[in-house]
Amino acid sequence: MNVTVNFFVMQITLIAVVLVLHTYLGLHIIRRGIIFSDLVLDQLAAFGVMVGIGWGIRYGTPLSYVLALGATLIGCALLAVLRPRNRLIPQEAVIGILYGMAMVASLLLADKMREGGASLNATLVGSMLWVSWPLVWVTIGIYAALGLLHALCRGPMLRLTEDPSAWPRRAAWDFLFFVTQGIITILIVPVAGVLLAYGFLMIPAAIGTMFSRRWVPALLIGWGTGFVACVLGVITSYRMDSPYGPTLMLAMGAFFVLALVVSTWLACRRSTVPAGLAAGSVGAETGGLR
Amino acid sequence: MKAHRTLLLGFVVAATAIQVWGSEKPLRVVATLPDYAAIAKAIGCERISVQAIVSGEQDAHYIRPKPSFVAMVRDADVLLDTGLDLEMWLPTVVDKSGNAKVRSGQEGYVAVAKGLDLLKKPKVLSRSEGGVHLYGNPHITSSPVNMRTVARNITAGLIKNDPEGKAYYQEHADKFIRELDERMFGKALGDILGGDTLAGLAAQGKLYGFLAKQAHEGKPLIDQLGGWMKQMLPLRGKPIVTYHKNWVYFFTLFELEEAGTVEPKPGIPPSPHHVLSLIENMRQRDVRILLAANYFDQHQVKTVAARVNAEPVIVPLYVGGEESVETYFDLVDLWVSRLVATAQKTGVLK
Repeated sequence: MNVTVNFFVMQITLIAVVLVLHTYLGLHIIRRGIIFSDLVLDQLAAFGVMVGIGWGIRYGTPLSYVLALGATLIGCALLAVLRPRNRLIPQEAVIGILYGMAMVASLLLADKMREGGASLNATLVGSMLWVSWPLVWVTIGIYAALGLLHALCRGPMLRLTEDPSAWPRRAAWDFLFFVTQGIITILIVPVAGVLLAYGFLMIPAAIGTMFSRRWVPALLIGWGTGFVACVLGVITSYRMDSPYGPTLMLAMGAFFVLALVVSTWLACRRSTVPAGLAAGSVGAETGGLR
Repeated sequence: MKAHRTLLLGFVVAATAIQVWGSEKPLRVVATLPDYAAIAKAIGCERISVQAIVSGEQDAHYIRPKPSFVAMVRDADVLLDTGLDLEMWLPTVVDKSGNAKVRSGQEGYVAVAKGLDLLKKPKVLSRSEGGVHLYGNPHITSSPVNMRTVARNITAGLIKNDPEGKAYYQEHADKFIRELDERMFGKALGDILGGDTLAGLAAQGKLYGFLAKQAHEGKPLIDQLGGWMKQMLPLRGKPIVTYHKNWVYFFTLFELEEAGTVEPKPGIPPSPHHVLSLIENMRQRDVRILLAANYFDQHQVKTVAARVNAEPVIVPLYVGGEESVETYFDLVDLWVSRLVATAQKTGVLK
């Protein structure tokens, strides 16, 4: 296969697979209001990768992933357990503090390492340009397994998001949720970088949420717009000779802004028509996946 | 009266002790790069104490100033800096140290690149070109021929701050430059043409061509060539891809062809178009060597190399970047030996 065609097929395949699970988990995260939890896990995965590099373990090797997983699991446990009892301290404060600590730990580590600067930069912007087919196949396999797990556990997972109060088993399911999020994090952060990984998780899900409260339509809208944005990003990056990861992120960001404008316009339009005619339209939809 | 005499004697003894201690106290030299520190040590030996701010495996562009750097510069008598826009973080460190003696333009400050003919001076000054260097490429340490000028500038700086050691510094500097010339060109050629002539031609990338045309006592002059220049002669004109443009002086010296860079604009990640063109170009031209400093993302270097069946040569850019590299000579030995070995392994050299 021609080098350029191979590049496009590989990138688009990877993006399509990644977006399915990321959009679904993103919907959970947005509805639960733990917007920055993924940034904590992304940064902890990056920290684990950097610890590995510091020990001479090559980036992208199985051992490097194990270290990233170890650091991410610690983050998952902390996210599941640390819940301030003081109402004035929201869960987001804990998440913000954990993110800050993970970030500065990475900075301090980078200072002591040979490839510190390059590694820190790589964990932020990623190296998506350099993926190979074996990595794409591994990603597809693991994402399929995690997708199946979420399909099987969709009952408790949806309850976790929609009605977690007075549920004794909440911490265990919370931990399982964060573990699946952690696994996709350790797979995607070395490839896409912390920022783009966060974009994959949040932007399509946010777009989907703007247009539907129901799970399946939101998932389809999020995945579809995210995929189109990313494909346009890949093409733009190639045609305009611009850095890859940042261009993808910007393309998704542009779609997010566009979606905001469209959803606002739809909401304004709806408010101008009689209430009876607007039933079932944007913002009025409720319901679930089951 | 006796008490006065005792007191006076005490003062004299104390003053003498302070003077002796002061005269034996080594000149405190701080260098930005470990290469300058290694050369300063070779010239100053026991008359100086020397420390480097950047370690051998770090990227000198992106150093985060730390309190320990401030303490180092605060106590320095001499500060060795490239004097270009490589160590952009240094003015902050000097300001915080409060040591006015080592500020740019003062007696204690030495710009080691002074007098070098810099390459790749930008024609257009624009931030859109990435981390553009206003005065030209500042990675002067990648060519041993530049180290002759660096050694002379360091010597002048040491003499200015410790005039009593002039003869000492001069003697050691001459010894260092003689050894450098011998390792670069071999003893025989140095005896015939002299280090200055050879270095002048080599710095412009004209030495091989000149030697090929000249004869000495009926034999081609190039037969007299030794040292690193002889080891690298088979690689003359061979295309090599680099990760970043920090080998410009090295390529000019050894007359290698830079067939592209993985990171086209310093500090800006590459685009798909650039990477795919680079891979296509490397395949078409059968470029089999990819040279990179060891502080770059080795994963990227190895991935590109693997895609085009090339061999990555990942080496330290500075002294101390690997355990075995303790002097500048060790560093160039390592560059040359790894490149030649890789060229043989990949079939670039038959």
